Amino acid sequence: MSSDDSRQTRSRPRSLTGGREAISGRPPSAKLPSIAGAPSELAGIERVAGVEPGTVLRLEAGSNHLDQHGAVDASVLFLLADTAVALEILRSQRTDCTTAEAKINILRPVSSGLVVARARILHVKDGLVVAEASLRCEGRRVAEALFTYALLPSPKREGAAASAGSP
Amino acid sequence: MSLRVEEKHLNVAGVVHGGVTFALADSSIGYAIHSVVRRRSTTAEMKINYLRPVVGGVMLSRSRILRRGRTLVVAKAEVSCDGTMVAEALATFALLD
Repeated sequence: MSSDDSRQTRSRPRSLTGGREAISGRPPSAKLPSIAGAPSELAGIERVAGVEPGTVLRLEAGSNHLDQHGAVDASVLFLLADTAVALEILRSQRTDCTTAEAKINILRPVSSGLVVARARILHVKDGLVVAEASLRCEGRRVAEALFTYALLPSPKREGAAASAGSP
Repeated sequence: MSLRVEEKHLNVAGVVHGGVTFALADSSIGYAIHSVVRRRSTTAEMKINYLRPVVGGVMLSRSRILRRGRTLVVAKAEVSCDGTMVAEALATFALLD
């Protein structure tokens, strides 16, 4: 974080996510958990630190994210939304999951700046989770995504339970 | 358009990340529109259904235009991997000029 950035954070100029616990200025970042996967890491997605509970991710839009028109590619915005929702499901449901269906509406082009994604779970039933992600850049809503995830049994945790002495 | 699956495309479960499949479908639709309409366009909306997990091989996305309007184009992409359908996407693109 640069000194400019810390000034912005203190002065809290604008809401980036517009959620109930609005994040202002340039939120501090934290490393993305490895469970997010290689594509998310390669894209430069980071976690926003200090947002509890909930999952908020951020991405500094750079030249490698732009399409031929100079706007952040829809695939990059989708990746950010998808990763945010997956991590929120992992955090709240404590089980592995996979995307079954997804829809994204791109509302405005983004050419630069910090894109922040906030994930929210809407419904959980019968092994399916419906969740949404709202993407904002510099306080403006840039995309909305709606997901259906399938919850998966977690072999790692089952294995851990077995090795811990379950009958 | 095709994509040979590499390790960098996988999530921690060892299957192709949903975002990668989305990118392939989105790109192939964009190119299909450009090849027919010859105008700049951008994704306005896209929905994708993941039918099967992909662990490796070559993914192929085939796109076709369903409806061409004055400012919007609706198109579809079918993504297969080694002959098996793995995802289907439906998109609305906005024509820019």
